[in-house]
Amino acid sequence: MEIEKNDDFALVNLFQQDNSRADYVFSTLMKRHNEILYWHIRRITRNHEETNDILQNVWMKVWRNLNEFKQESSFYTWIYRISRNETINFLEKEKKFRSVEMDEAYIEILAGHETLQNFSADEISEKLQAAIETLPEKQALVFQLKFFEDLKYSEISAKLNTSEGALKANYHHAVKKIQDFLYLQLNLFQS
Amino acid sequence: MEAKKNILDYIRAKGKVDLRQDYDKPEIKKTYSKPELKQNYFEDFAADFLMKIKSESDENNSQIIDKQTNKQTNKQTKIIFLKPVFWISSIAASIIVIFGINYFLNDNTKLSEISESEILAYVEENSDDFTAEEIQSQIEESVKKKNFKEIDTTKSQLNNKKEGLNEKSIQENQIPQASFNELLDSFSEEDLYLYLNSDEVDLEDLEIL
Repeated sequence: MEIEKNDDFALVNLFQQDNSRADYVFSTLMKRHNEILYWHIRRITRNHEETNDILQNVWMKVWRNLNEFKQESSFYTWIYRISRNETINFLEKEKKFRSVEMDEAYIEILAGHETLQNFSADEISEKLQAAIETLPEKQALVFQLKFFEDLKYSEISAKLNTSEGALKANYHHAVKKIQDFLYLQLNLFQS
Repeated sequence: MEAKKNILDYIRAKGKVDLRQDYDKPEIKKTYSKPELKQNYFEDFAADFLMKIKSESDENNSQIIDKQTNKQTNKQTKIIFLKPVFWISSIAASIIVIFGINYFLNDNTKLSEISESEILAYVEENSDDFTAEEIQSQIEESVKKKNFKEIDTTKSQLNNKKEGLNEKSIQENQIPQASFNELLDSFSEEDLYLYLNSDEVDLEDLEIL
């Protein structure tokens, strides 16, 4: 059977049906999503070693549970959910003893906004991450894929199995909520 | 109000990841401003991970095989237990063992007892120690003792029985005096007179009384 490498649905089906090709199919799935998943996690941990560990755990969970995955959501939504939970749990566990070298902020602040100029990129980055955490899963996912990864709607649509119109709506709601969150947080911080 | 401007227009993500699937065309990859990663990090990561899960699944498979082997052994054991031959032979073996033990014990008991032949052999060996008279007197004495005991026990049994019977007959023939007096008191003179005049009374009987 010819494997459609860009079709997660077909790959997952093949994994579930043909055990002899499970390794190959899984490596294809990893190749498709590993890099973007890595940066999702690293933006939260801001540390390579921790990201590496979490990513291992995430793929291990995917490997163990892929046979039970019913494809009610897209494969990427599913692994994003796993990675998000895994990262939160990891940081929660490590909170007290965490002493790792943190990456620089993943954002740059552009000139022209007076309030933003009063904060460092690290501070804004933390606030932004906190704002993303408040979003519903789909909105958070769409926002990150659009804002950080600069994906086109057509690409996100293929990844998440969602129409472009729905993605635009999701992104619009996400931006609005994040803006409100940041405005509130930064003003409170100033006072 | 400045803050109400779209804040996100002034925040820009540093690096962009190339998400296009054409990995075979490196010229379309973007330059990252993100933290640098080891070259081929993602390829190595995937390879290592797959190695890991392969070895893990091999371990699991061997564990499953071990379990299956154990199951098969258990099955074989179960099958042996289920066969009637096993039960029949085990019952036969246990019967043989029980008989063997019994025989052994009986044999030992017999050894503890003195057999007739042994007594005879003993007497024959030590016949010089006994005179014919002594032996005879011993035999007579033992016979007397035995007979006396037998007679004595028979006599005493008879006596006991007799005593028992006598006591019983006395008890049966005795009429308690108190009840006799009560009976007499219950008759009036008129009753007695009527009784004596009736045909049922025989004068001879009265004389005897």
